[in-house]
Amino acid sequence: MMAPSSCAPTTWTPCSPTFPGSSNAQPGIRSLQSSDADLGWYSTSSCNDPAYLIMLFLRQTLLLAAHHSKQLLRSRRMLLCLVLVILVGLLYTLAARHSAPMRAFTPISIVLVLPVLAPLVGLILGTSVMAEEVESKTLTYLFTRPLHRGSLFLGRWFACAWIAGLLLGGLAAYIGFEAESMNAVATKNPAPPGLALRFMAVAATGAILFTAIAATLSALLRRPIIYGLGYAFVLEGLIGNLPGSTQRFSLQFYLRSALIDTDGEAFQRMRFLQELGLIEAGPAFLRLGMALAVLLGIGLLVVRRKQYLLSS
Amino acid sequence: MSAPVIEASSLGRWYGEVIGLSDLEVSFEPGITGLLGPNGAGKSTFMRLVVGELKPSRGSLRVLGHVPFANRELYPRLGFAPQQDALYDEMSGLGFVRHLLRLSGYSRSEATRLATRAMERVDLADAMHRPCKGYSKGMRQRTRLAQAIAHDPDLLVLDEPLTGLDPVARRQAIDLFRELADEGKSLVLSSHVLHEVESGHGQHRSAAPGTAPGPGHGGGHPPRTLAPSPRTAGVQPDQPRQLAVACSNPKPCGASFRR
Repeated sequence: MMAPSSCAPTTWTPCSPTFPGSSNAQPGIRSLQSSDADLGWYSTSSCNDPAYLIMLFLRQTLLLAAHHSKQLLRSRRMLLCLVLVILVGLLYTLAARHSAPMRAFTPISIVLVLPVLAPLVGLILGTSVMAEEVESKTLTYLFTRPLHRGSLFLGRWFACAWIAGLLLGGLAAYIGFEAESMNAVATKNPAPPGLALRFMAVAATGAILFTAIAATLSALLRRPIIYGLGYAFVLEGLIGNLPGSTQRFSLQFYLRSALIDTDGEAFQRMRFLQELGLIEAGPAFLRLGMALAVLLGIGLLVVRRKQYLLSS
Repeated sequence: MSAPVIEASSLGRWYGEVIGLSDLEVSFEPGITGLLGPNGAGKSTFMRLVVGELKPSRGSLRVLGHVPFANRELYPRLGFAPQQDALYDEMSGLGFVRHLLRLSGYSRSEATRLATRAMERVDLADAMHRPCKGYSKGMRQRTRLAQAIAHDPDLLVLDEPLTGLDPVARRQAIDLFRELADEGKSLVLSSHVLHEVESGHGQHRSAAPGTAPGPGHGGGHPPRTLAPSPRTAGVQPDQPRQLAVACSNPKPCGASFRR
């Protein structure tokens, strides 16, 4: 991408008015005059046009996202996630073979996919955001480029998020459509209409949220996977299953609320779901979105300010 | 006299209780500057401060007139080849350099052209399409050098750039440094070996661990200034406790004794 003509610098001077290397200060140093504009170079400091800076930020973010996506798709992390997703899919297929659709769907979705698989996939992929660059010591190259640190964090997180969302969304779609397709043969406790799409959205949202948690932890801490597992299975497991309003402090509560249609006939028959005191799907999605924004905001802030020690 | 490219005043950096640098006062003029010192002298810490990877714990540092930490205005003018042997192994050498150029804002075609030119300059044209994981140590070192020079920066910071190179490649690298200096670039490079730095015909600074480096100039100090083998000096003070207290002072020992 070439810089917009209004932003392409024709001289070096705007960036470095006092630098001794500029041609007027030291004759022996090669000057960067108008011919260097042919290089396609443009400086982030040479143009203060907000639209241009936003485009540059987006471009760098997308470049980093594409690069990290390629890395992830060929990684062992991806293989592990794929194995986990396929295992759960197989488990559902076996469980649903001889039962009513909702009898297999409910435990798989509420007990296995949302509280176990979504955090696992999210954490496995999301911890690669900063920790991998720190461990491989390649972060130096990125931090010494004219690159907004926020684009580094967001780009790499975005790669994790779409892969995790696709994996969990795909699995949820398979489970949901299987459950819906059994309606024709099931006489009692049928799956509610639109279940597959809703489950797909909730599972993908859950996985994306956990990638954001893992990404933020990886920006903050040296061993994000340990802290992430502790959060997902100890803290969420405890708070999310406590009776009363305490469970509203867990993500699982909002994921369950977003999935379960409290007005729907299929879910109304399950008495234990009614006792969970869930909220409606709309507000639940809204709060999940807010949590995502807060997590990414914290991650951005940390990456912008933190010094990463890469021992040689 | 030209304005300095790097200026440090009372510069200090700690890692917890470990002192990486203490009270550094330096001013580097344009040209080649070599940093000499044993392991742990603080050369890499100083370089990481210069490229803005770390913030000083105390004091001030200006590089090309900028405060370096996370400064995007400085980075287009700065090239850094780190000491650690880290590349994106799944990428080719050319792809690696091109990727970093594209992140710096170059178009795909320009990034390819500049990356190819840089790989040719470090004599890796034949191997630039091979994945980095198949590179030898010297080739990896040269790839790190290529990514540092590819965007034509004004200041190059090279952390032990000759490590891992065979004698021929070492000669070529030193010639390249001279060439870059002739083009008007400033270079700061670190090494353990005095004559390597001197062969670049630049000024050099030697550093004891964590202290201010002393100046010298290439050609004026022959390699024999280094002892041929390690030597140990013993100290038997009359008042060992007072000596220990003085040495534990964050200020340099010499200053404490004078007081």
